[in-house]
Amino acid sequence: MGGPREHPAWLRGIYAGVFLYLFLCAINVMGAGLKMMAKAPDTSQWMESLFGFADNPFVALMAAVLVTSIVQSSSFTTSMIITMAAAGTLDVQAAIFAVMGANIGTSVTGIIVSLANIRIRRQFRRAFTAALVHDIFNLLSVAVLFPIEWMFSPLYRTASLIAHGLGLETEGKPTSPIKVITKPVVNAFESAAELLFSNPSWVGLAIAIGGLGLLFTSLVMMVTNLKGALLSRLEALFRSVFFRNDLIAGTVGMITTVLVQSSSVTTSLIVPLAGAGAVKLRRVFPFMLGANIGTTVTGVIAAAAVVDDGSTGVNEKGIAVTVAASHVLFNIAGIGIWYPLRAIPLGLASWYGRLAARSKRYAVLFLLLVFIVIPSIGLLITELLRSSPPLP
Amino acid sequence: MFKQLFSALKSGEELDQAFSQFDEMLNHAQWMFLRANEVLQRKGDPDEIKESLYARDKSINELVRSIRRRIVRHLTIHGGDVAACLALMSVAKDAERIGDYCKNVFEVGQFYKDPFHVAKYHEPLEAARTRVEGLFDTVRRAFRESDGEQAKAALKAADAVGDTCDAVIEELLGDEASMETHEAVAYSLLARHYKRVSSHLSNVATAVMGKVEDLDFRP
Repeated sequence: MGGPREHPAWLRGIYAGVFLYLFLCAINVMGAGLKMMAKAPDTSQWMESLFGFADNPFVALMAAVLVTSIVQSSSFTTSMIITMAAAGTLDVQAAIFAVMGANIGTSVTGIIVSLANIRIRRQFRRAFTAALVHDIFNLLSVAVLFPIEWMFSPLYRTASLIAHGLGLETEGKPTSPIKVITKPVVNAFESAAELLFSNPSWVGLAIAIGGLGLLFTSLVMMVTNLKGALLSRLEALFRSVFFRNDLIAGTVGMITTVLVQSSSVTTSLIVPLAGAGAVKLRRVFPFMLGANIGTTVTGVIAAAAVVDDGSTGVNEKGIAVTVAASHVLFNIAGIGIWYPLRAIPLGLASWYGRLAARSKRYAVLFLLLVFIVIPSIGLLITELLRSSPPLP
Repeated sequence: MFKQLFSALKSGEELDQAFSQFDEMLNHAQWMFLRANEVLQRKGDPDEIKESLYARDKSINELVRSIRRRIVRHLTIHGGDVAACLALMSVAKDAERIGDYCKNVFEVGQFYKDPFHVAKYHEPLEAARTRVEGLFDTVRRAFRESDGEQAKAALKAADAVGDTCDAVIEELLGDEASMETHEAVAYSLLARHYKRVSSHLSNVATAVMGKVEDLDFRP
């Protein structure tokens, strides 16, 4: 009688490295497919109308919320958004709103994890409240920054300045190391798609879907292997000693998330610990903020992987970095606003956590409200207003 | 702070550390048992021993809570070794109880000031005490080395202590000879406490046998 075979940590590390390489390839495979579709005469118009719809900030936001909550990975959504924006199929400003949606979507995982603690009322209250802290922070940040960004685009402007400051306005060189190392895989996908289809639109679609599949698989496998390689080490980071003050709790949240490349994983770990009373609620908040910052690293890696071949006539690398930087800035701005006012998200989470502990219906109601009702109402209002104020 | 975080990342598995802490609990309990009996035998000053004995008991209580926290963290983050975690959770409670009984033995020595006169009670209780002292070493070794044979030997020794203590109680209850009440109380309390200490040590030994459902029961 034996359990699942455990791979040694070093082997897990090698696997994670291989999947990181495939992740970098996936960004370029998907980008190549999208660019091919955008250039093909019979799909360029269809692409414009499809993604033109997503240029509505609220649609972009909600689509990202839904995709992220389905795949349970903001890293996946953010990487996809960056690739789409770099390929020119998604407006860069809409991409910034989509990144905000990815932040909200990823917090669903904690709520789902907290439902496992439902048997013991007090534990459930603590776990659900801990999960809510993350949700409420993300919701409040979007509530404040979404309209500001829509009206004045401060995130876009600052992120563009950063990309410009990094000198990314120049076109990528053909000898770019990422281009060189990812080229064989991109070529393999292109050759396989050309074997299957002759129409350039279908070839582009097949490559884009293949790239998307590779992106998802490589991310999942990378996170699984990083988790397997590092978990025994990470356990020690969740000791009470590291939750004695907010700075350390936030640093632990950031480090663990960077190491496993998934905020869903780290926030899912803290929720049951908070439920068991091993971590105090007021320390969960900075941990979640740290995890939010940590998860932006995947987007930065994805942006770094984008190869600008000059085929689209736009500065692909610059756009990718702008979106990735806006993700970082959005989270920093959210922390800047809500950390000093932390009594508000903590108070809201505690109040609703108590309600949910009294009756589980409130937990379900929260999920429905946040992920169905509010988005639908918001979408309706956005559509009504869409005709009058144009995007800046 | 980064030094602390770095050393935490290097420190290895929580469960290994929880097992070490459990051995530390037994080490404290063994020390408490020896000191409590020294007071009983008038070999030590109760006032001097009291402070460190109670401090050790406090350490045991801290350790059991620390072990529980580590188990929760390990199960939440790692998820594996469920049987080992459940066993450790159970035996840590036993070690914590042993600490309490050692305090009780100390209190008998502290409050009962007279010598023990009745050989038919004193001698078997002395034999039980000696056996329990040896039992600590056997159980700790069995647990550390996961040695089933040593665990079996511990269970046998614990049974012998239990039988001795039961015989003392039975004899006391049926004894119609004249004896000081407080001396009779001391014998009965010691018989009870020694039996409980050996019982909890035998519970620890059952964990070495490996089946969670059989914890605290004889195979």
